[in-house]
Amino acid sequence: MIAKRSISLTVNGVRYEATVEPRLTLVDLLRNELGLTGTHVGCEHGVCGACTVLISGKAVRSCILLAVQADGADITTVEGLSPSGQLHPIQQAFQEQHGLQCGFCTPGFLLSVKELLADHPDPTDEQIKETLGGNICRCTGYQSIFAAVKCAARKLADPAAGALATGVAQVG
Amino acid sequence: MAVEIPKTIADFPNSGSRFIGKSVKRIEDPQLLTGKAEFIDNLVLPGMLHCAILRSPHAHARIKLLDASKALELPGVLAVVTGEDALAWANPGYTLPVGWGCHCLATEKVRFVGEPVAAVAAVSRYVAEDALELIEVDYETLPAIADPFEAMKPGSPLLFEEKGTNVMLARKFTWGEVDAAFAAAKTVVSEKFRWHRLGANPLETFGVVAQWDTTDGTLTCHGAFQSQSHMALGRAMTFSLPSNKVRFISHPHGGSFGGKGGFRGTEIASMLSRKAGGRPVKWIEDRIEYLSAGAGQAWDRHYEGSIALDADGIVTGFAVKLVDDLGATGEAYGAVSCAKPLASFTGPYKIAAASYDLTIVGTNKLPTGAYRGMGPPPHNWVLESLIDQAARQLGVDPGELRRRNYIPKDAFPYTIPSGNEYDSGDYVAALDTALAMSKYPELRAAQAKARAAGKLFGVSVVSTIEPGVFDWNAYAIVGAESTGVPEAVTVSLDLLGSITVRLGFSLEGQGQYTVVAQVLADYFGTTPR
Ligand code: FES
Ligand code: FES
Repeated sequence: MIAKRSISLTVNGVRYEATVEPRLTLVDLLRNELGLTGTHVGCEHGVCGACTVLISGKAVRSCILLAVQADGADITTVEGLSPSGQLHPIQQAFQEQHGLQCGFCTPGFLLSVKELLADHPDPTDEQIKETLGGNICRCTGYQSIFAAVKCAARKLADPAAGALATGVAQVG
Repeated sequence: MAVEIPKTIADFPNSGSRFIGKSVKRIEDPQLLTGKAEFIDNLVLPGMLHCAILRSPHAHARIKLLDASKALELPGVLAVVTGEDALAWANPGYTLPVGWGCHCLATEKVRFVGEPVAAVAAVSRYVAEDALELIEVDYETLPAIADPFEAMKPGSPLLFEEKGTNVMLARKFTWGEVDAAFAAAKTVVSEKFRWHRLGANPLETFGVVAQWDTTDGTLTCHGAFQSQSHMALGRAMTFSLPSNKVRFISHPHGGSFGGKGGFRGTEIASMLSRKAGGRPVKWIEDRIEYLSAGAGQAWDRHYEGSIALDADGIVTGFAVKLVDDLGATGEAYGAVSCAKPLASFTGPYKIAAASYDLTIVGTNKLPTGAYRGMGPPPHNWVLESLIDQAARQLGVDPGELRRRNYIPKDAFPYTIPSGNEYDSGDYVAALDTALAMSKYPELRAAQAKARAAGKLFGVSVVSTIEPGVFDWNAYAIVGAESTGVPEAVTVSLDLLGSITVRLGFSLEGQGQYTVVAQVLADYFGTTPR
């Protein structure tokens, strides 16, 4: 067996040290060693985007990145979006616009969208489609995710514009 | 206390509709949006081991030698199971048609690519996968059959030699005077149809954590189960365990679409747990396993269909001959989807006579499963295509021909030839609404214009009845000793006044928990929390 390597990285503002086999993927480190199971694994070969996390604000697929490659990285996972339990505006938008069904793909989408809206606060339809093209959703058909991105952009631009989806009764 | 089950919302004892039919926020969303929903791969139990499965690279082969001793020597490997363990501890899995199955790990031969032959439990999936590379298997390949018509020929290679045939089920249903209807017909339309094998592909694959309590002989499995009571009863039969010693707990699914079977994986993980002295064993199907050998493939069908029409364009007879290629075994219940169309065999039409000549054949392909509501779409496609062809032949608008043949709204409750009773319907109104919403005459005009300009432009009218999955006795038709799904709903009220619901299903993405909360809130006059 190849010798383990020591790495350190910051995830959602918390610094971690770990000793890992060089072959350990970043997503397995996040999920199995750090207990951050919100990042999901759909394909394990870089196709579906379920495992998307941000490294220094850039979306990456954590299933095809080795943990040792993330040594020193500053990572954001879905758990970092709503640390206080209050949903992030992007998460609120996904709920209001029904941008999820089973929700398995959702953490990956949320982080891809977070990168998009950081780079392009008022994205064009083409930019939204280009971004969503990197994540596979097998349930929703994308229209509602597209609407959620637009809604999220509005919310981030004007927090007061919060509840744009009117007529939604609250259950729970 | 007997409770009167309300038939409509108006019969609810406490309130009218405050939540049913209203747009509401789904109660499951916050968990899903924050990544906190407990999908099965998130579950970690103390001492848990990880399973990897070695699979056959051949479609049909005899196992001449299997040596797993080196795998067991690898540090971190706690248990290895092979067909020998399956023979010692398990029965062949329950199948439909009954008796067309094998053990969860191949015992003498493999019958499809991806069939499990051995499995390992180790301290991590990485080590378990390493160990698979140390297992030696020597195969003698056998001729494989991929075509059901070849499989039916005398002298064809046999999946199960002791059966003497690859035909798993042959049954002809005749309802009414079908031959007479065709003999008297003014018009007969006949066509062959090929519906190719397809598959579900949910973003989350199947997964299970199995724990065999070696002290009291109890098996507990957490997993992405679609019908957990069926799974539990089936495993009780596999392992000859009393059914009250088998406990199945369903976790939220990252999509299912009928593809979350997991029968073999659950049995393999259970045996590994038993062999590892009762430590929990997790098996997460990987994407390649899912695509090549998972439970999501279905509907590999060859149809011959005919309809008979009288001089007024009334359909008087409908005859269907189906050869269904079920794959190598009946383990994934694809046969149920051949029976399910009987629940709405003649669709929305008033067709007095019908017949269904059903042959289910085995080939060396992955066993087909319970994809998407289990079976009616290919059958509907046959019937609807025949109606379309008749419309073309008669020069009648396809919407109009359907309208002529609908069961009239005053004929309900209506019993179709195959025996199911439809409770209600107004198909003419439904069609008129759809045609109005789609601006049908304008569509037809646009089509005529496009076609005149040499462009392809399709417009289609389709009417189907989609029966609920388990409203009808599709199981018994293909030989099951049960009639439906053994799932129940329990509603309880505690001392502090909270209402709790226990369901026989888990989240799959359709907002089931929200629906349940809506119904109960209206029933009890409460507000979901
Ligand atoms: S799991 Fe990483 S891209 Fe699919
Ligand atoms: S919501 Fe199920 S995969 Fe996207």
